Amino acid sequence: MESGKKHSLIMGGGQNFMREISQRIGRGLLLSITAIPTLAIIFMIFFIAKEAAPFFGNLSHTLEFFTSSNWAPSSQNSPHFGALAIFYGTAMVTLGSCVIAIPLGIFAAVCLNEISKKAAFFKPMVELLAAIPSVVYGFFAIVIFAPILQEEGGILIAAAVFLLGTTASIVIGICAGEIFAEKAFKGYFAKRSLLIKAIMILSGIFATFELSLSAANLKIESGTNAFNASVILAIMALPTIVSLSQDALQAVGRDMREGSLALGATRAETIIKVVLPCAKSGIAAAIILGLMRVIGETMVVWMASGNALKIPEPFFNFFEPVRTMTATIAGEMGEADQSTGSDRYHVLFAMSFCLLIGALIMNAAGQFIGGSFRTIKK
Amino acid sequence: MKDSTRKILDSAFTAFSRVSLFIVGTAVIGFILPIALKGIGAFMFTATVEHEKFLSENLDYSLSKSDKERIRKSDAARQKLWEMIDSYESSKDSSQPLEKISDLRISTFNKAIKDKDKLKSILSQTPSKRAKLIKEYAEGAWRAYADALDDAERGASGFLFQKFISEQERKLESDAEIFAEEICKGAKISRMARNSLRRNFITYPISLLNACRERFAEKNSAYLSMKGGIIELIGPRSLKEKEDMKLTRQKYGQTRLDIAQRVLSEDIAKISIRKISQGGIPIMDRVSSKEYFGNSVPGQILEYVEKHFDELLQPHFTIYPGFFTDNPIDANIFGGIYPMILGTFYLTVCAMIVAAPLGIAAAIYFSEYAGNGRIANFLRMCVGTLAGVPSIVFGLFGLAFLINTIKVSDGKSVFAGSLTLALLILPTIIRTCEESLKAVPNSYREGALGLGAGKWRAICGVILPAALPSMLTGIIISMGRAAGETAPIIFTAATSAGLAIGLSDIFTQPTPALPWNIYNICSEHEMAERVGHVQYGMALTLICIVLFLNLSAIFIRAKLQNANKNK
Repeated sequence: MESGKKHSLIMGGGQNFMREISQRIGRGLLLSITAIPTLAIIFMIFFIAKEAAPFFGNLSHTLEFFTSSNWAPSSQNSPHFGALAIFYGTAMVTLGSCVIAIPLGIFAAVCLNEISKKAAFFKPMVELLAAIPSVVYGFFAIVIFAPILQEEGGILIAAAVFLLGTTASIVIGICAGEIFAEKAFKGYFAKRSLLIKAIMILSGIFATFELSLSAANLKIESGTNAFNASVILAIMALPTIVSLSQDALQAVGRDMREGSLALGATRAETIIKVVLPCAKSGIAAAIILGLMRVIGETMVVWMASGNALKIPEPFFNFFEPVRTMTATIAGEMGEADQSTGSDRYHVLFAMSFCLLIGALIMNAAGQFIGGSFRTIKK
Repeated sequence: MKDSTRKILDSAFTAFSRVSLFIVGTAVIGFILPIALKGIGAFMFTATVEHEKFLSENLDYSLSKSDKERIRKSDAARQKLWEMIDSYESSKDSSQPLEKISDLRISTFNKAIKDKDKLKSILSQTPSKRAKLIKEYAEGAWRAYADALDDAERGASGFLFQKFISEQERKLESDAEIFAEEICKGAKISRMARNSLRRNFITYPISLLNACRERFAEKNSAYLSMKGGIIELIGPRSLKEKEDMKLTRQKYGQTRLDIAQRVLSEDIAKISIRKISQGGIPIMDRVSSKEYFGNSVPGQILEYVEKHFDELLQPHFTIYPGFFTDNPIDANIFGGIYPMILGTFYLTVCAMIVAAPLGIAAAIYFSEYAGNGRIANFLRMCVGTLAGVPSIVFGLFGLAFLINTIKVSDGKSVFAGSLTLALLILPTIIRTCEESLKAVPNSYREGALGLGAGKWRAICGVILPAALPSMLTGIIISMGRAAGETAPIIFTAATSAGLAIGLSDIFTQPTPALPWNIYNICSEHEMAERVGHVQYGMALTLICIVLFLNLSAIFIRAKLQNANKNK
């Protein structure tokens, strides 16, 4: 100790006491700073609930909120607060982006962790994807992607369907053909299943061809629609899914893989039957956290989804504009916050209360699942 | 399953995951590349002479010698164009002198006044008969006038004719007044009868003039539509006209060649004309100017503009660094994006000033004091939960709590927005800092404590410095996140229009900010086609800021890893 020339190495009682006090104070200060996120959560729930309470206090409005899709909160004479179409829009784009992001993300994570030798290049690229601000994604969706979708959408989708369908039918044809040959015909045919496989593959390709032909004739009336939002949201969710899934895959021990390989399994079999089941809780947590990014995302859906206040017809039509909760809050609060205390202001807070509760539940689920995975890792 | 099948499946699986990784890994290029290519066009582009004029007159740029030369050349080319337009608009190429028509009008009235007695007898009839008889009489009386008008119209093409017709209509009305007065003078004729005479006597010529004007309106509106396009292209003609314009966008022509070409092909080569649809409703129709005007004088004007396009505008390649340092003028159509960049800078830096110390402190508590107790785990869970709250909810919280409840400012302000952003990035900072602190080897702690340092001293003197570079990485990454977040600042800090604010105003004033203005200019701008380059330029600027922060973080991390390996 440079300052204490006269001090002995063993500290006296007074010094010890002073030190104890300052340690305590320092610790208390740190603890109070650490409690800020906790306080923020509590305040957040409290204040949003407080502003939402006047709306939920009115039972008929609350009932309408969840069951009707007649949304006209600013109307002077007969305001309506039916948010069903808005909830449906959120569910729709979330589902759409899941369908794209989950398989893509898991496959990419598997490749990053198990197969690719260029992980050093791809990993930062995936991280950069997470760094792009959401408003830039929205910009891309509305300025670049929407016009393409509107003009060439049918052909693009047809090409995607054809590519995916052809590869899928080849793979499935080979598998199913072999199993079918083994099960149905004993003896001669079982060994020469080529014909059966060829028939299956060709019929699969034919079906995809027909499907993509009908997709090519698809007329997309507006480029800003649920599909556009789903694609962009999927890409936004990918970095979360990929990097968290990769963490989970990394946590699976080397012995598992080696054991499986030693038993004669191929790499694909090892991954599908051994590695992925071991990492499933971590991957589930990754998916939940990726989903949360999708549900909570504002700018992309606001810009890309078209903001139409109705449930698409038919209900699974992804090429119709929809409107989500976050977009509604962002779009209408600007007009409502002038008149603090209006019905519109409160209904928007009610909507964000639903959003917040949903996010908290999902977060808890993600942390619970991910937590159990982390303890395994340790 | 046969081995060969398993092998095929294995390679199919490998191929599939490789493709997936390729898509995920290159998606970022697919996003950035088109934005970067077009975004560069915001400050490196082919400018027209109007660009220099705008800069020198509004933003105090000085004109170089070559710029002056270009302006002179373009003025010379424009002079010819304006002369053509002038001569067309004031041409009197009518076969019949217009004075003759006026004379005919006066003589017709005079003749009718001489027929006073006949008209008086008509006026004494019943109202329904009266009107009919007057009309019949008028038709005969106006025949010569109608013929002359017809002749004049056939040869007329100029603007003077339309003016003349309106004038004739006005004069007919006033003359009819005097005429009716003259006829009824001294006789006992009811007011109604007099009115009927006044109205019905001029019904016929008025309807003729109306039809004539209708035909000319179509012709002239087509010409005016093209002229409007030309003015949009090269700007108003004289200084006086320029000063009369309210909006800056009306004072100048097109500053960029790409937009100028679009104006040429869409607003000049195509024009809107008024047409009467089958249902009898007037509609606007788009037609090709060349076909519509043919070889007439407007056709020649069009040809001149198309032929001398380069001379009129003097396009040349230019770099405009002012895009980043100039204020926007007239809703971003002119000027740069300085206030947005500055606003983003304020918001990000203020948020970091608040969040970084708090985050580091919390991380120290988690890693050095808390251990794995129940309270610590609860606090940790809350950090995770806060990280999962949707960003728009942060915005609402900022509005409901910071602004409406504790009133950190009267309305939106940079400070309120920064606090909201700070809260948003706090969990990320806590997590990354905790991880970096935990990565400091335990031997450091033990060494420091073993040398007699207190815990506090060990933290400040040994552990923090060791963890600092890696903590910096996390902090820089969250800075990038704060710079790009939009939803939290919508209700707390962002305003769509406005100039750069000073440092002293951050506690009271809202500011424009890049993310919010990107949204605004894409979705809510009234002239989206005029600001395409600004949209891309803003998006590129934001991407560059964020990527710069992230790449520097990645760079620091790579250095760190190397350093660790060498140890």
